[in-house]
Amino acid sequence: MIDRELKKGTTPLLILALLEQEARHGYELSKLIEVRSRGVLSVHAASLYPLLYRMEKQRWIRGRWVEKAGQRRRRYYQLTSAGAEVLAAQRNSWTEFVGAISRVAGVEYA
Amino acid sequence: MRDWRNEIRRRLADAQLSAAQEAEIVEELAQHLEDRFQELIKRGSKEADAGRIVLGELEADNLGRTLREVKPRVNAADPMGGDGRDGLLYGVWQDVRYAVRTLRLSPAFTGAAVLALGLGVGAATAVFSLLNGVVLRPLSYDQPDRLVMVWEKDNEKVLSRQPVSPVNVMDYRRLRSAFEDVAAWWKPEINLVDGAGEPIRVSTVETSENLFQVLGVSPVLGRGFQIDSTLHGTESEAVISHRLWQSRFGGDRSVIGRAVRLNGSDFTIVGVMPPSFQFPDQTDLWQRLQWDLAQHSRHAHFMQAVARLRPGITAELANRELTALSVRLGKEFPPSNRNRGAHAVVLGEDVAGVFRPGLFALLGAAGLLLLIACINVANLLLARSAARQTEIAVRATLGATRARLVRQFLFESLVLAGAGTLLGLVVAIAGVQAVLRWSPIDIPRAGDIAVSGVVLLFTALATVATAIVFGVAPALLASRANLQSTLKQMTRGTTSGNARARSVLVVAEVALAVALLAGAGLLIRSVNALLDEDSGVEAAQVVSVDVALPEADYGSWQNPQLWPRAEQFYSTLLTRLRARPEITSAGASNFLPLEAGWRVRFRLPGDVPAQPGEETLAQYHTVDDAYFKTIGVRLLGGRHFDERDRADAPGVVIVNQAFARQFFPGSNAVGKQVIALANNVGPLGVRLVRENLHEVIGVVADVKNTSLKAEAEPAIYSTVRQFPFLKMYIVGRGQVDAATLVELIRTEVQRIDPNLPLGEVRTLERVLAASADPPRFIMLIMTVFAGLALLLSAIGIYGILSYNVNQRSRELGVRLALGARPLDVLALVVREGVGLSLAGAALGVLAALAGSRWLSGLLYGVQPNDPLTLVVVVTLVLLVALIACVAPGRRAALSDPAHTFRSG
Repeated sequence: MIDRELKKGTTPLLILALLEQEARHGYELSKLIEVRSRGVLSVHAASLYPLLYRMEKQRWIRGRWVEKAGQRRRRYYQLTSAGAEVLAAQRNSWTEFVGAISRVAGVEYA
Repeated sequence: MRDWRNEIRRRLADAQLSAAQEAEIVEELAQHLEDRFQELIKRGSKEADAGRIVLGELEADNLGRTLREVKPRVNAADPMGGDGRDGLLYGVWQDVRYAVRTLRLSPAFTGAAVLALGLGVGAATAVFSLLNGVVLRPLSYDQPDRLVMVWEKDNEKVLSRQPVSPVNVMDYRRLRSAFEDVAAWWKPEINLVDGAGEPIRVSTVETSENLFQVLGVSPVLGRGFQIDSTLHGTESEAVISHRLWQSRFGGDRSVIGRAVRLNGSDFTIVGVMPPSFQFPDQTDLWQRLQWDLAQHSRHAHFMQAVARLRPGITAELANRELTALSVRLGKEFPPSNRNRGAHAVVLGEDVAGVFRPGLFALLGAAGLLLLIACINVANLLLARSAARQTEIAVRATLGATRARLVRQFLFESLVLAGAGTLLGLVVAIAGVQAVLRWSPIDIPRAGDIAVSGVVLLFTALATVATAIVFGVAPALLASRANLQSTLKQMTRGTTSGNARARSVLVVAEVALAVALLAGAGLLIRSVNALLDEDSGVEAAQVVSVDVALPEADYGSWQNPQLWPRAEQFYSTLLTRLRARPEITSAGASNFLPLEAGWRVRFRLPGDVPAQPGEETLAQYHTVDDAYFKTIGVRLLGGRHFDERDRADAPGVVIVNQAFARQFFPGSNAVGKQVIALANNVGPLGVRLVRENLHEVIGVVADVKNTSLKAEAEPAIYSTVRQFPFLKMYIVGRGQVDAATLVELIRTEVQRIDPNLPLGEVRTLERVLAASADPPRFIMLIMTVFAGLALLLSAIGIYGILSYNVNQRSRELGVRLALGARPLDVLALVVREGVGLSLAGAALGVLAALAGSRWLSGLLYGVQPNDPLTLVVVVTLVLLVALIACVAPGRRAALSDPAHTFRSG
């Protein structure tokens, strides 16, 4: 299992990344994180939504209720321009960080 | 589809969300949970298992608390951020509930604040209530501000508040320009025998017929006395108190017209007074005056008088008239009225008596305590607001209007003040009950004392004002302040202005506590000094019981032929008591130690009696043979009284050392002669020896005969054989306990006269200690106050140090990391705490010096600026401050630098 602290620090990055292509709702985000990490990472409702609201308050993402025909309305989150900047910055530092860890610890970066 | 909404709502209870907000979040989460649930079913889970898993995942974090921290922003419709519905009354209930919830989240803060407020409000209310009942509340008479007590005074001896002469009373009564009317009474000791039960001693006054009319109070049952122009009548009538009516006659209305035997004469009960009527003091029976005031003696001063001022006349004006009249009387009747004056004292002031200065000192102390409590709460609120800067800033960012923020803080303050006031009410009620119950002394008008609603309202307003000012002001300031800077500050550093304000408050708190402690310390020393005074007697193992013989059977100035019977009664009683093996010694006196005897004139043979009325005064006491031995007073020369000193033998007296020193300086007083001018003292006692000339047969050591504070006045003692009194104190010394001694005395008294009840029973130790009761009472309450003040200050110091240690954790961590020893860090914290207390102590000493003159009337044997008291107080405060530093200091010294950095 991934260390709790590490996970807490990286989840916003994952969410920003997942929202880069398109707007998604909360369940979709949690599902994608689990699937794409092949089950290593998982984010449950209890921690996901507070995080989403916090990111929304920081104006990195914006939530909006969207009604589609024949479905219940759902809340979709999309990346704001501020969020895009944060994502770019975090990607950079993450790459640097992972590189540094690999060099020091001798871990190959897949 | 399962309904997840209730599960979610339950978990959101802590989040303090608006209804709209909650609805949206519930909707969003419910969908998520449903999707997850369906997925699990699809993967083959049973429904029950799937449900459990979903809910388990919902438990992972404390959803409510997390959400509360986040304060989600949903469609920009956040009620806490203001949604345009900020009407004055909108959501008052919601605000109150929210405030209660917020306060419950910090129980330490809330508890401390409510406790501080409760103690402050309670103590202040209790003392205000006492003061209100004893001093301030109007007396329950008609237009009480027009009532004055009339006292005479001896201009030579500067004795004020002396009893008045009955003849003078009639003169005062003729001052129609000042007084509407004057009533007078005296207190015979009355034994009531009514066949309904054991004979009892009843607190009685024999009063001029107009007393009830002057006071403006009518009986609730029956009638008062008919008023004759001479204020006396021949009918034997009595009015009884409500209390006596209930206790002795079971509230039977047929009591009117019933005959009772008072001191051997039959009286008819004509009226019952209302329950609230207590005048004078706790009188139970008012006997109609049966002799003519004008026909008595101007020399005899044994009555008390109350007058009703004419409308529009002040006590001052009345006093001017009384002075003029006294001068006139002095010229007209020099032997009796030379150098005597009269003065009027407003009844309300007179009733409160010794308590007035004491209660005002307590009032000041209660005010200080309330102030300290308010400061403490202010301090706590400021600390809390500092910790909530972030919250305020975030709310403001999210669009909360200033009004909204202020309103929220206002409600928190109000809830705090409300809880504090409630606790205060409980403390006040308990406090007043405790005082009334355990007070060592008789409190005047105790029946009128109750926790006053007005007073409680006043103190509650004071606390509410404090809570509002210090609770809301930070919100106002913070919401106006630059948001950027606040948000920056929230990560590090302190809000220095706030911290400074709090330091100032702690200094003030310590200063006030020092002032209160100094006051309490001075009073403790005074009381000790007072009780250490040598009374001149050995009080241990001595009891005193008073016996009052009825005039009808034992003599009065109307039937003087009976007087030898009084003398016989006491000789027989004392002889029998001395025969009991349990009693080592028994004696009698008409005054106990610390009581002033009758101050009557005397002359020395050979003195030129220049002017009648210029003779010198001495106290006259009547004692029996063994009185001095029983209370342990040494005979310094000559002999004690014995059976030689009969009524038909030459007159003899014993004098005290003060008398001998003053009037026979440098020579032996024994064998000298004095001309004793007292032949009778009102109807109470009569001299049976014709000759004025008395030989001094002995000199005894001084017994304090006014108070513990004053040196003994010159005193002349006569023997009960030659100058008998109806009422005498029987004193007995024995190896058995006080109750047994009293029982022995009772048995012997009843063997001689079965109709005689015993009066007040006290140990001699209690008699002496009672004189220190008023200052001791004030001292006790003051000490409790000072203790509370010290406790509150300690909480204050602890609070600010803990807060500062938290704020400086980064700095302290750096110091530790750089090699500072934990002891250095501890010293840093302690230095701050001690610094604050020293500053407070310095100010407090100044305040104590300035304020001690308010106490000076209560102090004895100690200077208001007593250095020892101040040193002890300051040391105590510093010690307590040190203790308050320990916990925060320890936390600072033991803090882990690594942890500090991580969390910083």
